[in-house]
Amino acid sequence: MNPRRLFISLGLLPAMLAFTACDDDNETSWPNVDGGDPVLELTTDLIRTEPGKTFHIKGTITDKDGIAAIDLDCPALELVKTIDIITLYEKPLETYELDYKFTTDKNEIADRFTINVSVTDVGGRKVSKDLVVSLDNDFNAPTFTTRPSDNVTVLIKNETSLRVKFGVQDDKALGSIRVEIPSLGVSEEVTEFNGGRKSHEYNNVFTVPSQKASYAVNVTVKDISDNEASFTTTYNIDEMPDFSKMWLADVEDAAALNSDAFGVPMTIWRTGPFKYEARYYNAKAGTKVFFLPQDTDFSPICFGLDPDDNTKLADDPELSQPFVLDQAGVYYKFNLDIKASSYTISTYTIAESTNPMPHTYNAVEQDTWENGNPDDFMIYHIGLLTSRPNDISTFLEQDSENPNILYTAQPLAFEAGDEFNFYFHNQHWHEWWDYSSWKVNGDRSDDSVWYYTGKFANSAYVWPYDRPGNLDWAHAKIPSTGSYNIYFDTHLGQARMVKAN
Amino acid sequence: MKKQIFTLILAMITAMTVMAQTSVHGVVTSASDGEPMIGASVMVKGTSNGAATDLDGNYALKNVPADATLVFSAIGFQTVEEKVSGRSEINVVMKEQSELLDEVVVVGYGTVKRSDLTSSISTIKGEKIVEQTTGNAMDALQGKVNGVQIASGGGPGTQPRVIIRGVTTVNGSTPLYVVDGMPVGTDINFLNPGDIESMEVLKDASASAIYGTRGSNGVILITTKKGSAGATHVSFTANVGFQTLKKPDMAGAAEYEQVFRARYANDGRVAPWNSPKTGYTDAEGTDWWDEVINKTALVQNYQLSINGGNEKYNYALSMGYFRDNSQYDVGYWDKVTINLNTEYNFNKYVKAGLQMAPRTESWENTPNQFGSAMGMDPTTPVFRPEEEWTDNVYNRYQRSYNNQVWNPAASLARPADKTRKWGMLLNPYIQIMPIEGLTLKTQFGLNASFQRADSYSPKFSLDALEQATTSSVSRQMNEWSDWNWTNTINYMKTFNRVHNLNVMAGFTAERFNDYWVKGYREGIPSDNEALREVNAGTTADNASGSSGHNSLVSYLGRLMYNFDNRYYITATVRVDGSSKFPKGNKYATFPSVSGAWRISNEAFMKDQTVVDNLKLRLGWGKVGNQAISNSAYLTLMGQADYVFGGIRVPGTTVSSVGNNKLKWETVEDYNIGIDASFFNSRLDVTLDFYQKKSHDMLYAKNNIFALGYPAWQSQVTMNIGEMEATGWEVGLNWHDRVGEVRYDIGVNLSGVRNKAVKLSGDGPVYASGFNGDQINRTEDGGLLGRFYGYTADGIFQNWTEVYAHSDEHGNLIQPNAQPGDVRFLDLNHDGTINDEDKRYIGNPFPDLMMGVNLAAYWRDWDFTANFYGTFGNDIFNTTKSRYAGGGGENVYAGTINKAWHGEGTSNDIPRLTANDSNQNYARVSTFYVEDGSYFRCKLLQLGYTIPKKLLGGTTLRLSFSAQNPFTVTKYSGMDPERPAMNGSVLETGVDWIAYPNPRTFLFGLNFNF
Repeated sequence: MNPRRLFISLGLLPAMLAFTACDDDNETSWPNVDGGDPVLELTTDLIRTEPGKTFHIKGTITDKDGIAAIDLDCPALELVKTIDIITLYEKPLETYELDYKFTTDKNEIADRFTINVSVTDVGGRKVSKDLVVSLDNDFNAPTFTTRPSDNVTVLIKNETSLRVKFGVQDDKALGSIRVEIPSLGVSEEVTEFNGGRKSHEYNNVFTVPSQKASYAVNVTVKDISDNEASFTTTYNIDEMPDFSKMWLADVEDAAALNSDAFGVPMTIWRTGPFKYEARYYNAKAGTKVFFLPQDTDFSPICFGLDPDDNTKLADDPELSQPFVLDQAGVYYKFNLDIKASSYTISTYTIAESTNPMPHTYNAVEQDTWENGNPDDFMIYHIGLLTSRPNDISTFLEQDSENPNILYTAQPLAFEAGDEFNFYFHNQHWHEWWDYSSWKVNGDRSDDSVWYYTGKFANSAYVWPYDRPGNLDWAHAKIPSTGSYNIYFDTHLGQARMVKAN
Repeated sequence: MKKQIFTLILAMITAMTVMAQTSVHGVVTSASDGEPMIGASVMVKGTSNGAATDLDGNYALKNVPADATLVFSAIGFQTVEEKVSGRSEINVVMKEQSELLDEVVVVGYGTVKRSDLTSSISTIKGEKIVEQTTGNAMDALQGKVNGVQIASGGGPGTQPRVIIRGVTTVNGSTPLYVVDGMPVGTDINFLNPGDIESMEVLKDASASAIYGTRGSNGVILITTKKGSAGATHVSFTANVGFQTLKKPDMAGAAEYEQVFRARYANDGRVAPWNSPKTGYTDAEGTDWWDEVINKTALVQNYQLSINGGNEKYNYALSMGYFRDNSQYDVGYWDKVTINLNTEYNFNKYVKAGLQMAPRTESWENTPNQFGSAMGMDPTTPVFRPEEEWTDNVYNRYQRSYNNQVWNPAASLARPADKTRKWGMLLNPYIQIMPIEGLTLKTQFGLNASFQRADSYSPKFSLDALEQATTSSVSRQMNEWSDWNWTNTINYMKTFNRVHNLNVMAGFTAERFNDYWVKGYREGIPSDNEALREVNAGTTADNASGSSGHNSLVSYLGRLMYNFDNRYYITATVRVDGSSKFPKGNKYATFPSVSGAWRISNEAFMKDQTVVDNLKLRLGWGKVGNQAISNSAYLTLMGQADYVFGGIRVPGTTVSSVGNNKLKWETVEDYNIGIDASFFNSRLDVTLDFYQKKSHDMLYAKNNIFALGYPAWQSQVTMNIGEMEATGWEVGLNWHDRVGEVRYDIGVNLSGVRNKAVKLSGDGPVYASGFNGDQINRTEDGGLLGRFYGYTADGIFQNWTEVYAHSDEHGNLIQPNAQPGDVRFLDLNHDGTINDEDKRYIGNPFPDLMMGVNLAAYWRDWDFTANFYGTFGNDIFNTTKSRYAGGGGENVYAGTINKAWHGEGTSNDIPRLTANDSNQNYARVSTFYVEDGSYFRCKLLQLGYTIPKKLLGGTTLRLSFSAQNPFTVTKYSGMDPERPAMNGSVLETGVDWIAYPNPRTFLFGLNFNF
């Protein structure tokens, strides 16, 4: 170290201590080129939109001196924005293509706003134009609240009829509903709506010949702005088919079948031609259940008790009576033969049931390194794995009555359309994947059956059915905004995610 | 105290009967101010004939032989001898002791006169150390030694962090402590501060290079008290007092409930309120701080010391007891120390000495329940209703209704771990002086300690998430036995009156051993205290243990030469061989050279009176660091069981990866300094500039995953880093007197910049995990451990501001934000908030450290005030999340109003939300960064010494002290000093709510006879 530098430094020390450094303002000035005003050309001076929708403010701006900033000003819309060109681009621009999007409040009640668009150049020259935004547009097509599946089987009867049933709604007002069955020559238009202008429940029966046939039913709905929604369902008139899938429904109406994120109705097991097995934990006495070959509606086929002979099954939704489960806190086991219209029913207790969990739930029994070191033990509990086993955000509580059942202690809030992948997994500090986990069939054809894939398992647990080889994450899609609860029966491998009450 | 001793001497002198031949009189004045000296002693050398000066500084002696020598002495002043030579009037000017440049300073393996120093060494005397009542002597150095950054924390047994002249390594920053020549490692908690005669802080490499391998963080030489020839002197000191902590202002039950509900209501959710009722008042709630933190905690310190001796033999014996209680009902640290120093002169050639210092420490672990006491749900009572109680007393506590904080009262009720430690420092030596100036010395030191640590965890269950399903018990026994054999030969000679030579050569051998074994079992049948033994456990037998050894052999030498006390040069070299390094790299050489020019001794300075001393120092040296594991260069195999198909299979795998090219970490150090005294030594000034740079820094680098080593063993120690510390120090000390008041004012200023020149090459090093992110970041070329995160730019006051926070195309930069959320700056203008927007947002290391030390003495009264502060450092205050109520935890009082709840209500504390979808509290951001500057009064002490004549020859001093009585700071957390202690040097400055420095009030008394 240079002694001279030292002495200079020492001399300056008091100054170093007493003062703090001041930066130069370092203001850069930009020279004028022609001194002219900026030129602002908006692509339109009227934008039609509607509450909750996004619109774009577009235009071309030129200024040979250089554009410094663009201001968008409409306090009533809560839009006060400065696009600081020099900060963004570290220099002024001669031309700029303005394309700024803004989303209006979905609850906005005013219908007209004026946005002032102004441009300032580096010389401080400013020009502005007004842009009117009108909220009287209608972008949204009607939506079906319920609708039949794409393929529906209708059983041949002495007098065979085809029931077309769906619900529809629109955020503004419905315009028309058209139902067409070309092979029957049906073309019906509805313009009077039983839910006011906003919704309608359509339910009509068409008589068809009692023979095998297929009928395509086309439904088209328009709102008053001619936004359109449609679907086509093929009704197959047939003898009793050997359904590849069946479901158990413990809810009261079709809306409940369609309001879940997953798991309602719940899958039952095909054990042979026309034969199915279902297991169900009945939490409270008096639960009513049906069995359905379609998962969106109780129609056109709904298996229940035959009202004339309750030892037999009935399939007509208008006639079938529910199985009423009068024992609470037990598991019911159903065996159905839909061809013979016969069934058997039995129960077993929670104590007789087993689940695959290798440790006591919520107990510090999980030896994270499997080395017996007490410092490495952690609590064993299950949650929704969305990233990693050491980063589980939502844990499940254990039901106090039935230890097989885990549930979310607090409802989870979602927006309509939210989607996420997940599976059930234990928390593990050191990220042991698949220590204890449940996944779904890899083709994601059904997310309500959960197969245990954990490396560690309760040795007493036996899974009675076939297991697909390709297991994967489940995919959940939220049907409507709200809070949801998840219930997971680790014995049955059944989970459902339904709206919280 | 000195003044009182002096007064006593004066009285004795005046009572003497003096035989005289001739009369001598004169005036004694002080060199510093020219004022008459009152009460100075004037003695005829070799006789008991003497007198004391009067109020005007006059003295008169009778019966003084014409060829006699008069000895003028006074406390605090340099003794002056004047030959009478027939004179009848002798006037003397006395200089204060602070001018004593001949003071002996301990350096590595020897001593030198302060005036001969060529390196940067600071000395603090024992009497300054014991001004503070503390368990660790380093606490007393704070602000008194320039360039030494000391951060303290509260809690029994807490060791302060000591950093000497910045940081140049990631391998620990603690200096090496050497007690009476015996290196004792990096922990001196065992030492009784009252036994310390002086401490020397070797700050630059030219001073510490003689300690070679372990000198890179500086060396602190501790000299314990020795006896001296003279009458037996007995001293008893007692200090007893209490500590208090500032209680944080937390919400009561009523506000807690309001905040809890508001967090959910603001998210459109129903609050999952689990308390048994609603509409709580504060009176219905629990004040958890009061439940678990005591208002006062006792601290006590006693010491009895006896010393004396004669020309053949001297001794110093002391016995001390120190106990520090925690602020909880449990948790303490106490120690009993004995220190015996004896020296025996067999003859003029041979001398031997023995230091025996047995000690015992015991402590009960002090729990850290501050966070729980602050966060616990105040609507939860301490206990369950009595009707729910079971035989298990640990189950009687109430689980928190609304959050996952464990009941702190329940945690305190469960037995705390206890430890007992016994130790002994044994340090004998023999010294032979066969010819004048030649000294041969051999010293064999043994530092051994044994520790028993007992732990018992009972079975308990408050609920599924607050329980232990089995009881467990463990006992761990440790033994440390280190020895050190030091052999030196020293030769001092002055040739032709101007060539002064001091040469030292030496050989040392050291070995460090540690052994431990631990037994553990579970399933103890009862919580009965008698059954808290490993044998009482019924399941999960587990035993473990190991031992470790490392050794060091060293050859060392030092040459000191000065010409005519004007030009000085010192050169040292140490060759160290360490067992920690592989064959071929075991030995390394650490040289140093330093020089000084004593300008004030030049002829051209003789005629001036302003400068009394002026010395320019220059130094360079290399020192080392070997603070790595004993086996870092070895590839080891270890047990690693694996699980196949749910079955545990015993296995063996590579447990650590060695590096057979490993070598020493070296720090190269440059220092330039000036020592000066002005105005009759009333003003002392010391200036130093330095730069330290490490090479071949030992660094645990991540292995390449392709090597196949498992992730948790994937580091290998390599020599790959460089760090640099550049700093300055200014010390100013003013000593003067005004009338009867003598006073000292000392100001120490220092600053250091710590830079990572090069790290592992694996990119920046992150530390201090926080919500899945990291707080501290260190990168090549940057300062150490700075906070790295987002820039919070206030709070969105309305939707207009939320919408305006968009890119140029209207894409919202924070799409989840709403009014009341924090606005984070999109610094790279890419329209999103992501890692690219992070910047350095704070520096935990201060720009300036300052100590101010004041002392004043008036008659029998003395007053001391010490202050210490750091300036320019930042603290990442995680406790600000106490405004969020995250997880249902309690909040600071006033949160309901302080948190944003409408336009204009706050621009700092965001809205209450349970989801925190904007990540207001989850992000590492400037929201948490606060100015950590503080200026703390470390000590105020007022003492009064009852004159000896009133107590029949006994001196009694009474004192009242206040330690940490007040702090000037803007920091909002509990203690701005404590975060500087947290974590390693790369993860410091984060406030995680640790035990703060308490205020301590003490009464002291000191008997001397």
